[in-house]
Amino acid sequence: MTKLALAINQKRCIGCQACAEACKMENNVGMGMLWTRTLTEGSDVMDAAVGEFPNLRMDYLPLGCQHCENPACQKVCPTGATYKDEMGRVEIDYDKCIGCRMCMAACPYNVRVFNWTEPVHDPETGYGDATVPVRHKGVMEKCTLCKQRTDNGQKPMCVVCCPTHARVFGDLDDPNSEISRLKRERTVRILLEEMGTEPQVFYFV
Amino acid sequence: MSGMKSSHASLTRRTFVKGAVAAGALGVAAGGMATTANWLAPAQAVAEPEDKVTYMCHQFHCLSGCCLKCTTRDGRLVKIEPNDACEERDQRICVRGLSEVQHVYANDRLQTPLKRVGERGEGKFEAISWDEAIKTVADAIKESQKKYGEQSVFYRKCTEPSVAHGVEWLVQLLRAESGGNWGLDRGHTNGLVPAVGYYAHLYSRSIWEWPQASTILMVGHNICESGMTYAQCMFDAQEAGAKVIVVDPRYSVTAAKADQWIPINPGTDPALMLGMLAVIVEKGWYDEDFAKANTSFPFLVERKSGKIFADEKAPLETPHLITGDTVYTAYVYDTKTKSAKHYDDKEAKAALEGSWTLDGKEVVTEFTLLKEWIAKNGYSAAWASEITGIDEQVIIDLADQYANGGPAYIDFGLGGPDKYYNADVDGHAMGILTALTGNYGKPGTGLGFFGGIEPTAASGLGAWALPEEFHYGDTGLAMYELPDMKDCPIHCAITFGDAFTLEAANANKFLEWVKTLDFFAIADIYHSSVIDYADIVMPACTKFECPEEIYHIRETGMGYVSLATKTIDPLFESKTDLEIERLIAAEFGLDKYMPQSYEEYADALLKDSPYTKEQLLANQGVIRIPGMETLPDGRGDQVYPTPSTKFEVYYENLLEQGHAFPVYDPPIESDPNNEKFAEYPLQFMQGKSRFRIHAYFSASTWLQEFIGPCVNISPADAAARGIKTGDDMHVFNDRGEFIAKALVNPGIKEGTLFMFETTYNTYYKDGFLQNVTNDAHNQRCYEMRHGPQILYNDTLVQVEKA
Repeated sequence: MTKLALAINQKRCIGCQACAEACKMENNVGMGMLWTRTLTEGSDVMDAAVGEFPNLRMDYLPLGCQHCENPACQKVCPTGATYKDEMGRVEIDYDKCIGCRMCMAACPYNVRVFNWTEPVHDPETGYGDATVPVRHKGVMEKCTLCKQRTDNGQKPMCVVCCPTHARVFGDLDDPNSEISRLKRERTVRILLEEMGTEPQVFYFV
Repeated sequence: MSGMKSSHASLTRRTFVKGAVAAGALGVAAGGMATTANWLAPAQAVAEPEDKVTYMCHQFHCLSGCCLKCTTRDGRLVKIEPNDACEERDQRICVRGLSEVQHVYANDRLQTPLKRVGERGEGKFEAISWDEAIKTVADAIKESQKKYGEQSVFYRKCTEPSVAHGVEWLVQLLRAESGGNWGLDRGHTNGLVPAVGYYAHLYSRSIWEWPQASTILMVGHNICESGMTYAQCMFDAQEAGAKVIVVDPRYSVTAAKADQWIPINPGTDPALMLGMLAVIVEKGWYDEDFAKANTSFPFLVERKSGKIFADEKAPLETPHLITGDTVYTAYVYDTKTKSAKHYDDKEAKAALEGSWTLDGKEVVTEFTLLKEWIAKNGYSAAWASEITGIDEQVIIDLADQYANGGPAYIDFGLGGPDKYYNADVDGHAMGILTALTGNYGKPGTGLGFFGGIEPTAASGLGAWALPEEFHYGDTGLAMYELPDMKDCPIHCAITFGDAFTLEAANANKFLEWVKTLDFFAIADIYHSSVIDYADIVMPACTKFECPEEIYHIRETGMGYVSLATKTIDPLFESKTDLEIERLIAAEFGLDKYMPQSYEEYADALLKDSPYTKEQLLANQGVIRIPGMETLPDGRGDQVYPTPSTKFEVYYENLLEQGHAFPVYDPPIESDPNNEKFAEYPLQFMQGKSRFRIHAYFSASTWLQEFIGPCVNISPADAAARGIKTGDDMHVFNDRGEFIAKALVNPGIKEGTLFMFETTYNTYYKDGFLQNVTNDAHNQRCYEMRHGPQILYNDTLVQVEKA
């Protein structure tokens, strides 16, 4: 079996949003609809430190679909549009999506984005990989782990374009993969572990 | 996890009301010009388009020069990723490079040549033909040359609308002025050149050696937000056990990632360096063997005159690096024979310390003089603590770590403390620290700017030669001096890119000068801040657009030769810089001296090189420069390009200035002791953003989702003025004003403000950053390699809620 996953080194993350823009570009994500974005932990705005001068912290948390083993979004999807695929990814069948947004409410990570209107692309002609499906008004979308790339043995675009190599992509079912080793050997952080969603995305420093 | 509760406020799409209005006005005035939407609409339905892949070297202005792989579909740029023909560590891109997918098509693109129809600064234009634009420009140049002479024409080519960075023809063909001293990024270098040679900021060893260091002291360098693709080297070093220490008034991203952050009062960095120096000398933490063998510390100085005690019958081969005067062989005191010997006498055992009477003159070693100097000026950790606001023990510990902790770097950025009145003092003091501790010319040690300009082996690329009769104007006038001149000899200006608001401070004053010019034409890609002041505007191509298949050739900062091919056709009516220069040159019959095409230029450079066009094209446009397989052993031989070939610490040429050794000077304006402080009590600093290179990328709607003009303010200063995050804030001083959004940030020290470098003025509600910056000059720097620098950060302001 294959269980594709992503490990993110928070020490190496400089909050630059290259992952957000690489993803937007590759997947033809519309304006204002990022599939992954980097939050400044503890702050409502980007790049504001937390604490009192000079005792401060500024930690970045890149956040996209966690590709959970036990996805809350999938459980509530009434049509089966959201599914866990054979590679271990959480995917959306856009043709089956009826836009009920139950998944959006269920996802504890708030990483799903909905096409409230026809998506706006700038430039209008769009961008990214030619095989990425077009999404229209009324359809939910989110990180696919660059399905079109990972199906072909390539790394997701966020991993390729991270300037500090903070992202490690691999197969958790392969015990010899770097990502399996990281999960075994490092202290890892799982977001909202208590929710029981069992994310396949994990963080380390 | 409060950060996850809501989407970021800054992720909502910002609207730039003024920007939209200004762009609209331009559109109306120009009449019937294509909008991006029209331009991009497919002419007709076509069959499934095929992807085409091309390769190019991207920005040189951030100094990264990433080699990119670009995908086009139906003639339009749709994807950019790292060029996978480079070595794995050099397969790089950042958020700016990625955003080009939209940025090249941005609404701010200049679309057609324009002629000004309103007042200068008003922004009223009408569209004209290229023929009319070129003829108008050429006629204006001819008229100025006739009326005032060749040197009345100023010509400056900035980086963005210039694909072959550093390559320009017309300025020399016209023998125009291009400005002498540049005034940017050489503040520290000014204070270092006499010590280690020209290009003192470019240490000749690689940043890839950082993991061999124990300590990396970063001052004024925010590598995690500027040269982001090099930040990996910092993390590699930390993972290998190096301690990264960041000195910055602000809690920057790099400060947050460091092992230690030392907040410092803005502009007081030289006091920290002098304090560390005092500690190291007092505690005896210096490397005596290194100082004796490789520096000028044992050289003798005549106490009375302060001049180096030298043998005037023994001139050295290399003249003084600044004055050009002959330098003579210095004496050292030989402890074996108890007499003066030439410093390079292999038999002599030079004393590091002491004073003697020789030839009836009292002489003293430079090291002893330094000790006395420190005592005379009262430099100590306690003194430095008072000025910098850093705890005395922190300064002592920092000196200990730097001197005794193992191999160490001082990495200074090109911003921050480099842009204060006392930057030369800072550079000189850092040089002395380095020389005292022997942290130079060995792996894991060094001093300079890292992360951008890697030392590369000679590429072997040729050059395009012009006949000798063509050369730059030679009056040596610095551009930033022009508004201060009584009878300014410049009457006609041509710039590629916005030199006038980016490469000068105090924009109100500078633009008043621009208004006095008989003629000003600009070639630019976007509607930058200065466009509205131009008489003729010429739309330039980006580095992606070219009418021919072969495009720019260059060495990249990472050690490759890159030959770019066309990614897309020129958008709108834009032309490449080579085309524009050729068209103007043709009006003078001078185009025959220029390459006819980028391909001819590439052929000329490749002719006697180790590469061929075919090899480059077959290898995705890149070939590793031979000799780059191993890291360079810069200064490993401890031979310096100075007259003595030693690391020279004592600057005899600055005796009259009182700066033979560095003397602390406070910032000229940004100082609480300044009388202006009562009225303008906030120290205003600017620096790099990850989302722009200076103002470039301002037009990117993708990046606008993250950033607009905003000023970071401390919670205390904001509260005192009733300011909240997102409020409009009026920033002002006696030079000018602007309005920008407030970001209340606990990472900002009370009494200071921080703003990312300027963006196009159309994105502000009113004014723009450069209206408040300081245009004072440090006269002392006229005695230095690079002259006075622009003091962008040496600025006081007041703010209020707008």
